[in-house]
Amino acid sequence: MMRGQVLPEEARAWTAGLLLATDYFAHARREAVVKASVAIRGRLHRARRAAASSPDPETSR
Amino acid sequence: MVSNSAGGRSRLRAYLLAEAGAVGLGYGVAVLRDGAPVSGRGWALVAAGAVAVAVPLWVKSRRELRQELEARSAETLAIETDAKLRLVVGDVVTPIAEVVGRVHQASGEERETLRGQVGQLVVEAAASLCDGERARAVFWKLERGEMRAAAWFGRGDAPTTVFTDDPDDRRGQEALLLVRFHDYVLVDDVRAEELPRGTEPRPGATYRSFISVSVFCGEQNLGMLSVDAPEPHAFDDTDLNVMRAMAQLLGAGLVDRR
Repeated sequence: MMRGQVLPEEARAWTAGLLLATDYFAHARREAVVKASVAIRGRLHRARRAAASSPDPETSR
Repeated sequence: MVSNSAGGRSRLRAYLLAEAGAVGLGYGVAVLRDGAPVSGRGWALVAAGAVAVAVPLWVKSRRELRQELEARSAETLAIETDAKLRLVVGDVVTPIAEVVGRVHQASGEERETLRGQVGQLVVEAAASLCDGERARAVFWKLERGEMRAAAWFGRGDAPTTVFTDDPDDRRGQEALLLVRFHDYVLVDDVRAEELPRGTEPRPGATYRSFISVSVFCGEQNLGMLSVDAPEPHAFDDTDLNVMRAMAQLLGAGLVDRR
């Protein structure tokens, strides 16, 4: 389950002019890379596991 | 930027070294089982056998290392693409869309303040999202047939160019036409390419590549959003699409009620 704010505090702070764009984007970029890294590695891991458990290598592609 | 690749590669190298060691040991034992060769011919045969064993092992290890490297590069690219998508959709479009909504709920002075805010947010996002190093984004607001910088972010000083419809202002005329026809233009290198008319840089300009996009909503022409960078080929298709989305978001925030 995932639950969170549609507009996080940092985004509100940026749009309200309380947070510099450089700081906002540096933080957002770091967060995005971490989350993307977890997501992509998770997908690759699941794909490899599915390929390994498939009885016929031709159908696992 | 993306960790773990060095760890994975060193693990593969360790496996390959162990494999080579095991094969080498097996070959050595097989050779020495009957005693060391006593003649030059015997040693030559041992050397030829060693080469015959080593060559396929070397080819296999090179292929595996290359495949590993390619897989890591693909993984890195996938992560970068996914991160950019998250940044554009989650961290830029979502909060700016919320401010655009508030523009249309507000009136009077507050509405104008929020509109200025949308313009500033859009140029900050455009300069930060587009790949050019030291990129600069500018919103040129169209008023009374002329375009002046209304918001900017990134490298350098405040932009001073004014795009007009004067007969001797060719760049101005072409910029105004781009807005009127709701077009965009991406130039990879202002010094190398045969440029579309009116897109030549002004003398002393510090940029080599740029994207300009018309800002409009329905029939209302509102100005031009541009991003430039001092390096050639700083922007690609993805940046162009980011700019198109930013320009439309800005147009939605600036449009007047009929």
